[in-house]
Amino acid sequence: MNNKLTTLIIIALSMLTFVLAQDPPDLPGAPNQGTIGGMEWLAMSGLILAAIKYFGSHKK
Amino acid sequence: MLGFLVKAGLFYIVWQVVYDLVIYPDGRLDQFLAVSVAILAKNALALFGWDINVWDRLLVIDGYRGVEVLNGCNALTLMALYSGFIISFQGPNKKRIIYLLSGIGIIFILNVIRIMAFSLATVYFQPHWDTFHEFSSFIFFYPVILGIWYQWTLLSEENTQSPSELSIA
Repeated sequence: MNNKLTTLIIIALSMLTFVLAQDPPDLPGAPNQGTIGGMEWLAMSGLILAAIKYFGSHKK
Repeated sequence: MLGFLVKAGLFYIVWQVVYDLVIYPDGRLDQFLAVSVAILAKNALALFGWDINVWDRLLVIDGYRGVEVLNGCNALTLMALYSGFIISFQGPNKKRIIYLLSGIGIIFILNVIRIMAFSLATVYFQPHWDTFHEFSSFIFFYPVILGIWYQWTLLSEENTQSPSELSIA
């Protein structure tokens, strides 16, 4: 009996989250999306840096 | 140089396969990074007195367009790119671990600052948001990452001059 009551209470509480959950309010427009661009430039700079260091140190 | 290229190439191939087959379908790492960045940016802006709300990955200053932290915005790929260079370029292994962990931490913090700046941009210059967004990585991330990479190459030079320490590179 106790087990049943506990189960019922747990189910009821978890159902409450559906009832009480609130959507975010309407926004003035679609949200901006902050993706990270230009990573190919960073990769290329890394390659150049490695090449300079490698060939530079081998010239000495 | 060839060794660096091979190691870097292998690293990025393995990373892409692991991301596509494991990390992306699982979703928890992307979700954790995106939500934690959004929550930290919200808390930092709230400290400065901004009336700001966060729902999952969405960050909204009351009355303005929001900022959504997508998978492409959580800097995970950037962390992988950063790590690839540090792992592939020769250097002392103990310091490599320090550079990896601190670099990833710095990228995470920079991303929080970048998302804070995006939220403020919705208030002050929403019409120029796309331009700001396009150049944001070049302002917040790339100078710092290139600086750390450069420091790492200097450290590597010092290490090759005194070959007492072992290196996996």
